[in-house]
Amino acid sequence: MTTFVYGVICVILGCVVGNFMPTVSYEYSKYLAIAIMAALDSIAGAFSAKTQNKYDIHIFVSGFFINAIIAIIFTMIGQNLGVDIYLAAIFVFVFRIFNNLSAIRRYFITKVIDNKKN
Amino acid sequence: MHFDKMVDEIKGKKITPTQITVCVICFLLSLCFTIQVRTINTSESDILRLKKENELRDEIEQWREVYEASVQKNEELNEKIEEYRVASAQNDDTVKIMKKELDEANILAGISKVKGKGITVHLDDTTVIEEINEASGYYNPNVYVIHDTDIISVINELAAAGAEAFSVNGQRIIATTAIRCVGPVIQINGINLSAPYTISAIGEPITLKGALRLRGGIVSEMQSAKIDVTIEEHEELIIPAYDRVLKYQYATSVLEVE
Repeated sequence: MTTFVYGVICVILGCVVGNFMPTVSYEYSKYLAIAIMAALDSIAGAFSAKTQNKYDIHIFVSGFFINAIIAIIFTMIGQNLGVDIYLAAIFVFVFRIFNNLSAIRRYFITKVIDNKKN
Repeated sequence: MHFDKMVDEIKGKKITPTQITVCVICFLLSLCFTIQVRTINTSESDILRLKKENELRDEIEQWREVYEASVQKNEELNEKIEEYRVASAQNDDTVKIMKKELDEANILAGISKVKGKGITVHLDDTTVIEEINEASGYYNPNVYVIHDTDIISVINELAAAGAEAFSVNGQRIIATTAIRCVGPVIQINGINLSAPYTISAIGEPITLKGALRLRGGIVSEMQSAKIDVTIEEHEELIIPAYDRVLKYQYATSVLEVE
């Protein structure tokens, strides 16, 4: 519970600081967007792992940063080759986020149904 | 209360490494998120405008290609017509006479390239703006810029002095040519021209020059407005043909050809 509170505080802090940071130029905003999608994918993955009791903080943290960095690198390579790799990356990330979210939903629904039965 | 309990818990416990990582991650993610949202919100209108501009630019480029291709085709066809005319004129005297008449009519209409002795008048915007600025402390660019009326009056003066063909920066002046200011440039035959302007006229050079240089005439008037005017005489001057399509929609000839 305390971890959750800390998390919320940090989210608010991040929003406030981000409001006063300078904005990125449009060319680079594509990279930032892909990094955000990678991070959101990691978080969704972490939640779904938690429901399956497979959660590990090392895997989560490493996935969070490395996925974001790799996504940015791929986007850069695609930019230089003239291929819109970032579209593929976004597709994969969003696909996985939906998958993980539906796994979480299924987990909670079965839990509720089980509770009712008992 | 729950909240009090939580506060006590937070006070009592040390922050574990897990909590630190969660905090760092939450912070970073929300930071990036806010920055990204702000970036997109501020730049979206710019991007839309840029996209629109690029599309329009592409379109202009495409139309220009089409235009250039058709101009080239037009030239080729005109050459062919000329060849046929020459070929047919060789056999027949009446055709020969008709060709001569046609050539003259073409010169008058401005749809054939002409050469002869004449003069060129160069008009350029003043180069002494700074001096004017310093002298009077007030600068009204409108007074010192070349206007459509300047060019019209030069051409008018030359026509009065017996010039037979005119062009401004390579644009042939014909009967239906309009000369007017469009923003900072002058539009002639639908083409935007900017300073310096070169007005070419075919006629007797001495007469033409004299007509422009009259005391109190057009040149002295322009010079008083600080416009650079230079006049050159030429032994052989070439004036290009009117390169648009001549099209009369409303005017038809009254004389019936029998």
